[in-house]
Amino acid sequence: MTCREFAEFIADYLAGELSDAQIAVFERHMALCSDCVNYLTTYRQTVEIEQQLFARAEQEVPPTIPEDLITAIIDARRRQAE
Amino acid sequence: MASGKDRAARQRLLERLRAGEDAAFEELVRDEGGRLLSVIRRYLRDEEEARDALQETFLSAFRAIDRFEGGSRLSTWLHRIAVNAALMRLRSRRRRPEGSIEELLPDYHQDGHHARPVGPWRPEALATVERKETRRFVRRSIDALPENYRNVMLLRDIEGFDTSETAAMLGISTNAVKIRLHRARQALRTLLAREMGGEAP
Repeated sequence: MTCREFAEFIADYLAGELSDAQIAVFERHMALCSDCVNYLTTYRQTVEIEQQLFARAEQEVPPTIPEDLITAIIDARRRQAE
Repeated sequence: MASGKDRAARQRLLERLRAGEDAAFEELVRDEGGRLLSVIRRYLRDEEEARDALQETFLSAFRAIDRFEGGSRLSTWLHRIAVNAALMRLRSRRRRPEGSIEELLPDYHQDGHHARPVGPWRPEALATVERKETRRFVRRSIDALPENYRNVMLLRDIEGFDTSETAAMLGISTNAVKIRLHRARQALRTLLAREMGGEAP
């Protein structure tokens, strides 16, 4: 397996969608290639950072809806009902 | 928010909505509007557009409330309508020219090995994700991804839709979803690596 091929298996590997035989080949490459170990780790960290970003943004600024937008939506529904 | 209400309270709200009670609609908008607006802002950076999409979300939901199956949660159902409203707006507007994803994918030698050494990221750089400016940089990096790729990544990694749900929402094949998700993460990894160290730019 080359590094290029290894990279193409990463998403399926992390999603648990590889067969045992594929996992064996994947992990054999990892045992020999520190570049790919680092690539896999930083790929996983990328997804974690991405997910943290949105979770944190909402923790810090509790989602609110502006009062004038509430009014606009209620008015629009009234017009729609008429 | 309605998702914080207990089961019985959610059921009562649903019955009042179905009866067309004005106060119930206002309650729903107040309970869920803020959360849905922040979901929509992930896709639409323009505030006017985000507001319009939120309005469309509630109007669509009000029209379809009789078709809502009590089995799932109202908040889950609204979440999906909001994402669809945002995607619809993206589709209807003229695409701005975007960079290609290719230049953000890893380089390989002809023999298929990494063209440049790949190092681990510096732990102290990873820790800066706590900081506002690092998070702004991450957000800018996500925004820099081509839209077709960014949307798949948001739907899969952030909204938590599975591959076939994402495929249906975007009108593409499940295989295209898988490829775009992987390419989007690889491209984001390349952009983040510039801050996190470990490899030559």
